[in-house]
Amino acid sequence: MSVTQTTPQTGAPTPRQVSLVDCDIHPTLTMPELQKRISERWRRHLDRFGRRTPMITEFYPRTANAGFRLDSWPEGPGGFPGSDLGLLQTQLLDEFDIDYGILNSLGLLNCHEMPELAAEMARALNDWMVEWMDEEPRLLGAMVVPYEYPELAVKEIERCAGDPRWVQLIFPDSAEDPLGSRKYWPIYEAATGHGLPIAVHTAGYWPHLDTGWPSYYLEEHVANSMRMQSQLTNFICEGTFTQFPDMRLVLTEAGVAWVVPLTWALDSAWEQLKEDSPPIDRRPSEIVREHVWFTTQPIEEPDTPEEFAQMISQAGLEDRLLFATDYPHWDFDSPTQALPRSIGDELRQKILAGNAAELYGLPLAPPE
Amino acid sequence: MKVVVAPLEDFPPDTRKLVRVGAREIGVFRVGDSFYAVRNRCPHQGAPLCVGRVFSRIVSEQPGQFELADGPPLLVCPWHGWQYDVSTGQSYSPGDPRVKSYGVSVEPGSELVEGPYVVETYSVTVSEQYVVLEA
Repeated sequence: MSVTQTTPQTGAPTPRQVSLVDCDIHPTLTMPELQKRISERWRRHLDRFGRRTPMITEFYPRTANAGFRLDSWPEGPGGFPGSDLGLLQTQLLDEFDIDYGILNSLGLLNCHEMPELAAEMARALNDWMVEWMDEEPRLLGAMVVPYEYPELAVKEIERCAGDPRWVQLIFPDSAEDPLGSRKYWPIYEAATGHGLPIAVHTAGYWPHLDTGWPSYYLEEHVANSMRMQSQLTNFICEGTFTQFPDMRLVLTEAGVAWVVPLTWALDSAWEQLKEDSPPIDRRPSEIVREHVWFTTQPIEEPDTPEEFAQMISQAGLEDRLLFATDYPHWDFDSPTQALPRSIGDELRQKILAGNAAELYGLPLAPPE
Repeated sequence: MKVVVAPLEDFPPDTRKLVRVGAREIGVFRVGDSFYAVRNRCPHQGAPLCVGRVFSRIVSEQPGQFELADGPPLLVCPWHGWQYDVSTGQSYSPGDPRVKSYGVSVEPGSELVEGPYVVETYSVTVSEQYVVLEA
C-alpha cells in the first residue's frame, strides 16, 4: 500500500490523521463456513475425519474463559468469537475508533494438515478475509499460507500479493522445524520480495516448551514469551536476516522486555563464539534492532508505571512497539486503558499508530 | 435517587438486569433471595463487568475438602477475570480498586406510588412488590 499525503488547501480543515492501529485482531472462520469454501474432496475428509489438531477451546491446560472475552460470543447458534463482522465492528472498531485493524487469523497455525488440504484451507481463509476487507475498509490482513509446504506457500503468496490490503504474512511460533530453518526460506524470500513483514504469533504444534507439560494455564501463558525467544534466537543464529537483509519480523503476543537480556547474552556469546556461526555478520543486538518489531499485548507490567516507561526506554524500543488489542481473546487490551500515562503523549502516539503506519506503509489519513 | 428496576415477580432468582441511570449503567443481580448492584464498568480496563459470571466463594479447611461459602458471591470480569464482592464492590485482590456498589431493596407498591421515585418502565400498583435500586 502506498503512502498518500495530501497538502491541505488554504482554509480547508486539516485532515484527521491515523491515530489508532490495532495490530492483532483474531477473526474465526467457523467450520461450516470453511466447508463452503473448499473442494468436495477435502470437505468429505473434514466431515469424516475432522482436523488433526484441537480447537483452542479444547486445549489443555484450559485457557481462561475458553480463550475468549465472555461478551464476544455472537448471539444465535453456531456463532464463535471473531466470526461475526458486525459484532467485531461494534465491539472493537467503532467502540474504540480504530483507524486500521490487522486480521491475524490463527486458523491454520496449530494445524499440520496434509499438503493439499492445508493449501485449500489457506486459500479459503484468505478469500474469506478479503470478503471482510471488501465490506470493512478499516480492516487489513495477514496472509495465511501452508507454511510446512514452502512451494505451495509461495504459490499462495503469488496469488494474493497483488492486493495491497495484505500487509503481512503470519507464522506460528512453533512449527515442524525451527523458524530460522532453511526449509522456510523460500517463503521469507517471496514475502520479503513483496515487501511483506512476517508476523510470528503465539500458536503452533508445541504449545509448551520442551521441558514437559504444565499443569496450569498460568505457566503455559507465560511460556509464550519463552518460545518466542527461542525462535528469535534461531532466526539470528541460522543467518536468516543475513540472507534476507530486507526481512522484517513482527513478534506478536509474546511480550517485549525479554529482548534486552536476550540480546545482551547473544552479543557477548557471539564475541566469543562467532567463528562457529558464520552466518552472523554483526552483533545480534544490531540485527534485532534493524529487523524486529513487537506487539504490545501482552506486555510485561512492572509494579509502577514509571518502571514501565523506563523499561521501554532502556530497551530502545520506542520505534518498534505496535499496539494490539488481541480481540476477541480473554486478555484483550483496551486502547484507552492499557498503556500507562507515564510513557508520555509522543511515545504513546507512536505505539498506538505511528510505528505501525511506518512499518506497514499505511495511508496517513483514515479510510472513508 | 431510587429507581424501580422491576416487579419482584419479573426478577427470578439467579438472574440479572442492566439498568441505565443517567450516564451510568448498573447491573442488578438476584442471587437466591438476595439482591446486589454494581456499576457495569470494571475499574481495570473498562470492561462490561456485569456480563461476567457470578461464583460462590469456596472455603477449605484442609486439602481435599471444600465447600461453597454462604454470603455474597464474587462477580468475575468477562475479560481478564478480576473478581469483586458483589455486595460491597471490594476487589478480591487486596489493594486493587473497588467497583462502585449500590443498595437494592424490595419494597411494596404502596410505598412507591407516593414518590419521589423514578418509574419509567413500570406502572406501579399498590398490591405488588418491587425491586428498587438506590443509585
